[in-house]
Amino acid sequence: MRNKINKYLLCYTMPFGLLVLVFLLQIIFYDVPLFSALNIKNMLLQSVSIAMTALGLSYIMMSGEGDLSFAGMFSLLTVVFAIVTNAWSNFFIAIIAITIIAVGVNLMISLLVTRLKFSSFIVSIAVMFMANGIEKAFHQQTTLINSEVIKSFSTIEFGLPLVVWLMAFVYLISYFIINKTRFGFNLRIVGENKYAAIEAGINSNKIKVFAYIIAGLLLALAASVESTRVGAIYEQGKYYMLPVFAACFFGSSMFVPGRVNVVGTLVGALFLGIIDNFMKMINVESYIVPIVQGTVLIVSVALASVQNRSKIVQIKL
Amino acid sequence: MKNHNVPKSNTFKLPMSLAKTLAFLILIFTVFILFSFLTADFSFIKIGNLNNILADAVIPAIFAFGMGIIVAGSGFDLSLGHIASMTALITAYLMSGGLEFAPFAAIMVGLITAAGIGTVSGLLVSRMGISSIIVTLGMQFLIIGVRQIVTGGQSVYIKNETFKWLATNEFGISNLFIILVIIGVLCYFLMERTTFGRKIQFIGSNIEASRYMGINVKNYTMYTFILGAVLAAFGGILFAARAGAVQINSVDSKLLDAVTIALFSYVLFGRFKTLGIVMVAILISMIGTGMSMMGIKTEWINFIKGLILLFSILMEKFMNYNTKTTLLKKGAKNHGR
Repeated sequence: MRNKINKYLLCYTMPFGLLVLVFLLQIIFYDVPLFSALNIKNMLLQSVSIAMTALGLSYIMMSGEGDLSFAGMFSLLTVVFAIVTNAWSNFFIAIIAITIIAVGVNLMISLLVTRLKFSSFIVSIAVMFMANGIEKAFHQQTTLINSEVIKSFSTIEFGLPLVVWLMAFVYLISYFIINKTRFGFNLRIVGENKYAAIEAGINSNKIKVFAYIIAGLLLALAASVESTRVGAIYEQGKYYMLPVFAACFFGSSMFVPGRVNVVGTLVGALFLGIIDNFMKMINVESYIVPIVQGTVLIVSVALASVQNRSKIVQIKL
Repeated sequence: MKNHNVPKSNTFKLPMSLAKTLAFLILIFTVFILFSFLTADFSFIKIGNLNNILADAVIPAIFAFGMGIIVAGSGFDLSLGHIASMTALITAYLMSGGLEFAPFAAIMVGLITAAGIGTVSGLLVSRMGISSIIVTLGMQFLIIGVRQIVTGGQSVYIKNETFKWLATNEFGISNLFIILVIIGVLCYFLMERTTFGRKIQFIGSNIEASRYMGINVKNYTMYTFILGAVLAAFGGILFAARAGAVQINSVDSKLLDAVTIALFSYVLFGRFKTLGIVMVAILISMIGTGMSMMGIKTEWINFIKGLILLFSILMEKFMNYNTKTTLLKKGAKNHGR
């Protein structure tokens, strides 16, 4: 009985604490309409692309690898999307193009990691810088999307904006895949203990390649959403690196402690969105925002790894 | 990753490290010849240009010393570029404006700040058990916020001539290169000739064994981060002396150079090697200068550097193919137990 209570405490203290924190913020800054319908809608809209990218990263992290390449790829994909839509004014050509790019690059990374045993962090850092270089070569400022039809995708609403429903749908599917299917079960085993996976006869290379491909799809989706909403901003991906990582690590400190999980990632991304939105509404100085984000990341990871803090995590190359 | 090939037969063989160094020198020489023919009317081999290449190699090399020390202890630091930017900004700010610090005092304050940042990330990595990539990513954003407070986002111009002297051509060769030689010798003795450096490298190769040997694993991991931050900060200060003006994010992008050079040297030699880092830095600076003289846009050079990074890992895999594959097969047979 006591074990069970402890387990529930471990799983649900964190989300409950976050909820209390948000309510406290509302009580302290009572003149900020944090829970008004408009604000909630805005907050959800802003956190859609972060949440989707974080979901993709969660797949990769569940399979026991790490990834930084999205920071470079994200801005590259938004630029390609904006340029292609402006050239042909066709939504589908653009989305097919960026999906092919994202999946292709992630497939390449996954093959390097699984077949040639490269360190995934180093490969993804190299890819991040390469993507940055390409982006710099033919894009220097903000590109807005001209077509009104495509822009209106981000404003269509059924109660909530369309992209928010899209996010909810993606998360629902992912929850089902991770928790209810054989693939998800294998994915979690590969990340948890690769020797157990070998004993169980799981082809861990195949699983990892699939995880990377799903991450690529989600990255393309997130980039297209971001591009339709605000256009392609130069080196935007850099500023997404931290929130996405923070969402994943935040997620790993709740519901299934110590492991990256789908619901946790969603809660983490939404919490970061709330904090970001809140800081915008009380008009803090611009330099406070990165400080708060960095602190949130470090504190959340410290909370997630508090159980095995005596062990130093090394990065093997 | 580690290459412990000791020649077993009695016949004379070059030591592995020396052979690799010679091979790398040949590579540098080949690239040199290639570029001197590719550029218009041999402008690549003019004395001024060669001096420029050496001076260009200095700041990335000093960054790479810092990164190399951290990587030798199996850590990773994403915030090196930001630490260097912040230090350069603080140093420049203290010397200009109404403060008018002496250059030495300003540099000292900058280095102490960097050491403080390094201590914080080192403590978080070693005492809290957080992955160093995450810690330094968070630290990177903290620095982005904090450095905005120092000057309010303004860039600072340096008027102090004594400070600018650091980057002049006093003795025919760039002063920066002399500084690089001094720092290189210090790093060489610290990392390759003392127990301190040996312990760090041992922790990097096997942390469990070094703990059983009685090495204070936590402290030494922390020291790598402090040393790395201080060296990067020094690189940032030299950058400020060379450029004459510091923007708020002027050195951030040097992280790519640091990572490329440090990892290239690390995978090539299998350990921290000072000479290796200097050689790779010169090679990469040569490629960058040569390509921009050929009229390739500077943006593509970043892309090429990323490719070089990937290529270096690939090269390591092929070089250590025999030892690596047998180890992997052995691991696969009994599942790593």
